[in-house]
This record gives sequence, C-alpha cells and structure tokens, in this order.
Amino acid sequence: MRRRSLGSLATVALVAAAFASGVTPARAQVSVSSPYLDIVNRYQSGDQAKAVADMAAYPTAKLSERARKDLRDLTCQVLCGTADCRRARSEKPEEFERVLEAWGASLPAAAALHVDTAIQAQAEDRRDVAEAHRVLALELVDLMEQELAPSTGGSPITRPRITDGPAFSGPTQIGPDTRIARRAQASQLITLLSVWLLQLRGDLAQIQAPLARAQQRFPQDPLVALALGSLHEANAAPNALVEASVGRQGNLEKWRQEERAFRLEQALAAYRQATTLDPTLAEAHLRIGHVLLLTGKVDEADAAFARASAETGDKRWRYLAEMLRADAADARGDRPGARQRYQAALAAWPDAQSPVLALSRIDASSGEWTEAQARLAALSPRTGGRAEDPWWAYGFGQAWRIDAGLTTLRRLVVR
Amino acid sequence: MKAILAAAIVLAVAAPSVAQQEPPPQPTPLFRAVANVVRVDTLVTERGKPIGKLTADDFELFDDGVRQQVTAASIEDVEIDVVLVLDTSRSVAGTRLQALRDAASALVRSLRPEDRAAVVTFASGVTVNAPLTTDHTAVSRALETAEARGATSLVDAAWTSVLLTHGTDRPTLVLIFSDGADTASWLRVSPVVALASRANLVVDAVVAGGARLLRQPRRSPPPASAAPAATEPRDAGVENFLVDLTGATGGSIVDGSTGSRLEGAFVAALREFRTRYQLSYTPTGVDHAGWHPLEVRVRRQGATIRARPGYTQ
Repeated sequence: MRRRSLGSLATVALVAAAFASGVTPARAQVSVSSPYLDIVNRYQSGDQAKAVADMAAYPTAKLSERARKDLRDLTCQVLCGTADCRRARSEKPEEFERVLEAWGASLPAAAALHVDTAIQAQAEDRRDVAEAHRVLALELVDLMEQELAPSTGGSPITRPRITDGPAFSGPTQIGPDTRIARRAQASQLITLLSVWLLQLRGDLAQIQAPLARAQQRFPQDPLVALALGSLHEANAAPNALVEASVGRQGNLEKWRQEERAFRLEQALAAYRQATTLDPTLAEAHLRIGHVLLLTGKVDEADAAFARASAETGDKRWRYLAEMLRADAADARGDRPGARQRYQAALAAWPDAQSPVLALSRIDASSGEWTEAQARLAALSPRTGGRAEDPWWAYGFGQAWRIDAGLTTLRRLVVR
Repeated sequence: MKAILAAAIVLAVAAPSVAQQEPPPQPTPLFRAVANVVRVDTLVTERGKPIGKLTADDFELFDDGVRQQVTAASIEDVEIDVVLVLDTSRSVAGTRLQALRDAASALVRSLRPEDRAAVVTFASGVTVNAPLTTDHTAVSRALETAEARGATSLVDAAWTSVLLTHGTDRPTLVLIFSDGADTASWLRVSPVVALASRANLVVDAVVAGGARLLRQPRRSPPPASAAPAATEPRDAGVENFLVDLTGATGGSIVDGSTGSRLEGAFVAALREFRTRYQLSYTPTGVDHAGWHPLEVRVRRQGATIRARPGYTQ
C-alpha cells in the first residue's frame, strides 16, 4: 500500500521549504504521496475549502495513527530510507535535516487542516467528527513541538523560546526568525481555535486541557488570559453551578455561593491580567465590567465599560459597552439614562435585538404599553430573522473570533 | 352561543367595575387598568382528573386573607388565546424539531375557530412568527418555517410572549417548550416573572432536558418590581426561571422528552387549560399596594386546586 502510494509521487508535493516561503530560498522539493497527504497538500496549496470537505469525509477511525504514519514516518522513509525516525536522526543527520524541514512545513499545515475541519464539522453538528479532528490537531501541535525540538547535538531549526519573552507571544508579533515565528503562530492559533471551538460548544470540562497547554506555552498572550477568564466566568453561571453540584452532598446552596464567588474572582484576575498584557484590549475591560456587574459592583462596572468604550473603535465593543452601561444605569434606577444608552447601543448596532427588548421593558415599566408592544414588530420573521446581536455571543467566550482566527491560520500555512 | 353568553357575562361583570373605579394616573401603572378586576384561572382536580360543572358558590377566594365575592366561568365556554413559545435552538435540530412542529400543529388543530393563537420561536434571538390570530392556517404555516440553530434566549422569549398578550380579555395560555437552559437572553429573570405574575395568564412549560428542568413550579411571591435591583446579579434566578415563571402564574411543568410525549403534552396542556375556571372579583377590603397572596378553596372533599399564588397591586 505504501509502495503504491510512493509510486505516484509526481503530482503531490510535500514541500520542505513551503513554510519558509519568502524567507529563505527553497531547497529541492521532496514529493511524498498518500491519500491523507494529498489532502494536506491541497490545504497547503490554497484549495482549503475542498481540503476541509475531503478531510471531513475521511474516516475518523485510526485517523491519528494514519496522520502520524504519513506525516512523520513516510517522510522519513522517503528522505532517509527508513521509517524509524530515531534511527534516521542519529544515523543520517544530513538527510534528517531535510526531514525536519519537511515536518516544519507539513505538521503546522496538517494541524491547521484538522482544526479547520473540526470547526466545519461542528458547524454541521457532526460532533464526533469535530472532536476527532480537534484532538488530532492538538496532537500534531504536540508532535511538532516534540519533533522539532533541538536534539542534544544541535538542530538546524532553533527551538522557539516562546516562554522567554514577547517575541512569540501574540498572533500579530513576529520573532527574529520568521519561519519559526510563523510556526509558533500556527501552533498558538491552533491551540486557541481548539479552545474557542470548545467555548462555542459550551464544553467547559474539555477546555481545561488545551487552555492549560496554551497558558504554559503562551503565557504572554492576552487572548489566553481572556479565555481563562471566560472559562471561570462560564463556570460561575447559575446553570453551570447547578450542573456541577449534582451528586454533591451537604449544603449545596452554600457550596454554589462559594464556588461562584471563587470563580468570579478568578475570572476577574484573568481579565485583569489580559489588560496588563494589552491595556488596549477592549474585550478584557468589558468583561471585567460584566463580572463586576455580576457581583453587584455597579459603579465600578460602569467605569470598566467606559474604559472598554474608550479603548476601541470597533462597534462590537462600543455596542456591548453601551448595553452594559444601560443595564448599570437601570440597576441604579436611572431609567432615562438607561433608555438613552440602549438607544445609543441600537445606533451602534442597528440589527441588534437585545436593546429592542430592553427598551420594551422600560416602556412597560413606565406604563407605555402601546410603545412596548409596538417594539415587538422588530421581532417579526422579516426583521427578527435577520437580527445579529453581539450579545448572543458573549456567553461563548472568544468563539466569535473563530472566523478571523481561521482566516489568519489559513493564510499562515498556505504555500 | 353558550360560549358567547358566558364571555358576555364575564365582560359585563368586568367592564363596569373598570369604568367606575378608573384609577388616577400612576408613575408605573403596571396593568393598572385591569387590576381592579382580578382574574384567577383555577384548575380543580380530584385524583388528577378535572372537576367540571362548578359554580361560583363552590369557590371561596381570599385576597390577603380577606374573603372576596367571585364570579366563576368555565374556560371551556369562552374564547381563549394561546401563545406557543418554542425553543428552536441548535439542540432541537433534526427529529426533535419535527416532533415539535407536529406537537404544535396538533395543538393548533385542537383550537376552536374563534380561539386565537400566536407562535414565538427562540434560539439566540426571538422571532414572533405569528401574532395572535384566528387564522390557524397562518399559524401552522409559521410553524413549518421554524429552523433550529443558535443558542437559547428563553427569558427574552418569555418576556415577548407575555407582552404580546397584554390587553387581551381572553383567558390566555402561554405554552413554552424548551430543552435547555438559557444561554443568551439579555433581559433579567425578575422583571419577566414580575410581569407574568401581574398578567392574567397561565404559563405551562413542556421540557425535554432531563430531571434538572423537570421540576415542580415554585409558588412563592415573585419579585415585586419590574425593574432590576441594583445589587441583583444580572444572571440571578436563571437556573429556576421556568420553575418560578410557571409557579407565579399557576402553571405546571411536564415532561416532553420524546416525540409522542411531546405531542401528548401539548394537547394535554390545552385540554387541561380549558377545564380551568376563571374566577373574577373586584378586590374589597384589601386596597393596598404590593403583594396580595391569594388562596382559593373549593367545597369538594379531596379536591386539589392550582391557581396563581397571588398578584402585585
């Protein structure tokens, strides 16, 4: 089977220099083929939609094993004449350099393809498929870190020191070696996308592992701090606490109160860390305000919302800041102030539904029933069906970043 | 003819009272116009079966401990409004959505021509698919267009449906179906429960989310204010929302976890609602603002009564 795959090498290129595109002159191309690698190659070539569709249709049984064999062992077999990578590393160091170079290109692309496929499968409600690809993407990131680590005798590719400083800590920052930096970026984005996918699914229990990994590898990334804060905030939600208390003994109400206080404290600390890492991060300021609002600290919350609004030109955060400031005003009994801010929110995001409902509530509270009911016209299928509201995504952490993250990742790994 | 006559009696009792006791303008006149006549939709059962043919003489109603003079009409005899509030979040996709459509359609088919129905669906957002109408074909069409996607804005949907019914004189059933907890509503729980407890309606819930959702209504006083309190966390009470909402209106929560159960639960909710009695009275000797606890008794040995626990004046 392998021999037959190797026999049709001509069209499939797993290109060693691909990931270094535009940085260093490409070395001789190496072609390795298999049905699995064909899909990875297609992804690298820029036909990403087709590659994702093909990968989503690929059997998930033993997928991890197939990926490792084809990506790792097959490359080694072709370039060093043996699939035993450890042996190749020690016995054929020169050839093995080319293996490392090939892996440097193929592993990030394959990991990106798998997280991309996971997101697509999740969108189609194919949860099992999504989970298989999400897990495999992280396995490949691990493999990448493990295999591309410097050997005792030195390695042609310097191990990125991502924990030492800010050089590799943010998705927009590029380190001294662009090639390594891009690989680190890919690794970082794949890990974050995995976390965001779990946020989207509301799978709080599963988030911990990839998040811990991200914290360890990218401690300077404010997005990691944001995700950690969001996990704590989600775990502090009443429904999550009820679920978490199932099977516990003793005073459950007391446990829930204590757990909630602890979680909110942790969330606040993580969001504050995010603002320390990036003081201009409007989302972190906004989430700080929301946690403060959850704890009844209305005035402090309002200040945080004002800061969020001041830090951004992005209408998403301006809208949410206005909404939450309106809620804070309402909670203080300032009904005119609340009304004004809800209207400002609606101006910032005209398709939003939450301010319409909030205004109907204020109308009803003021005895303006006709006005309150008239607002429901905005909820008809014609208008309500088109509604988009950033508030709806608030409870799903940073999942709203998936599309942008995926676009960056695709660009990063394309040949 | 019987239905029209009974409705006329109820209105005849209600209308003069409203006219004679027109209240002065209030800063927050929540349901002030109809609060002078209090309506309490009451279910009377014996061993789980409704008791029919009761008259006003069979009931005793106490408003804050003071006995009131009530009139009683069987809801069986009058035109009603039904608002279907359906969870179409992503978790409902597939066979459950079709079962939901079938169940809702079965209920609509059980309505009488003069009854009105509305459809509100909710996922991340809320959509009023059909406003209150006697055009049942339009309601059925609206059900067919429902798609399953997104998160769950249960609290926002409940607000919408209760507000939608404001001003109606008909006995009103709001029937909510949900298979999960709220994840995306903007509105807080307390104003929604407060509004429902002031309205003359019954909220029943059919749930398909396991034991955590399938709990009995809590018939405790709802929040007094329709505005949020400064120190109340934004998400306060969300875990008990259906328990409190149904409890505040004298409704119930039933299991609809499978397709056949779902259809049965919908039709049964309507049938049960029709067996209720609408007790009406003009409060006497209890002219104070705030919470008014209600107690309804019936002169039948072994009878069980379900009605809202009180109202806020």
